Amino acid sequence: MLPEELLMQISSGNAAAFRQFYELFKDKVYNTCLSYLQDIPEAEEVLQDVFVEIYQSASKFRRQSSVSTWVYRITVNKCIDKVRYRNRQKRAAIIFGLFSKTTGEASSDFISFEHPGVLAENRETAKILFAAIRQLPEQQQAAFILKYIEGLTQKEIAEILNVSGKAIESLLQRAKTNLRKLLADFNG
Amino acid sequence: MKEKGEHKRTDDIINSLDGIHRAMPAEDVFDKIMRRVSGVQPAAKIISLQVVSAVAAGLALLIVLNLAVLGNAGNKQAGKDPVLEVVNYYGLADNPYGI
Repeated sequence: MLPEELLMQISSGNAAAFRQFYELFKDKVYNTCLSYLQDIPEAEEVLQDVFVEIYQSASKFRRQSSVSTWVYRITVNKCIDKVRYRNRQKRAAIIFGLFSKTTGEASSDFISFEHPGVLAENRETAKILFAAIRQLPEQQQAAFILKYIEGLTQKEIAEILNVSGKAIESLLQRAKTNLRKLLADFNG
Repeated sequence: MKEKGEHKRTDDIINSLDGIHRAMPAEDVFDKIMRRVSGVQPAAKIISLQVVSAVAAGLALLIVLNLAVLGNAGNKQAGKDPVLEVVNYYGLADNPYGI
């Protein structure tokens, strides 16, 4: 069954169609979340959020874009929300840290994130790259992940991020320039 | 020469994602999603002790301030001159010759 047809079935509460849809898209959603959030439990949490959203808004899908684009759009938005929430929590922890004995530091060290899918010989350099990706602005981060990790075309990325093709080109260019600067700092 | 070497190194890092495999989510994620869409909450939300303490401190402060305001109002009430009260009650202030 085509994804569009599955969505129609899901909107009428068909659990089997929902399972089939999940199997089709879980890898794309999970890997995007993992690259963006760089934290396995958080990526699984957002994976759940994305599919709950898909289940609840399946009837709202208007065939203006492909199902894949629609799913990626929900995923990127949920990841951005999660990062913003995480940053708010961090700020709150720092404020509470002023009044308590704890330092307010985040518990996990993101510099050491190891993507489970990276080849063994690239593991150390990939760690440095993921640490640098984290420091990019929101849109550049999303564009870079979708292009170089998910392997999407610029046209698809433009539709997902709801910007023009030119804007994507410029976002990717700036992302690469910034990464070069950040990586030069790591090298130095 | 050095700059060229640095460029190569950064390019190597950027290319380290070549051949990346897709990671797989845990097996039970779909069951968790189904529980959520069925309206069953998997677990109660845990609120940190710090948030609870902050809310408790705020409430305590609010109660103390209210008590202080009420106490002040009570004192003002108690501190009124009884003679003035009688004068005001019978409207004698504007009628010094009244009976």
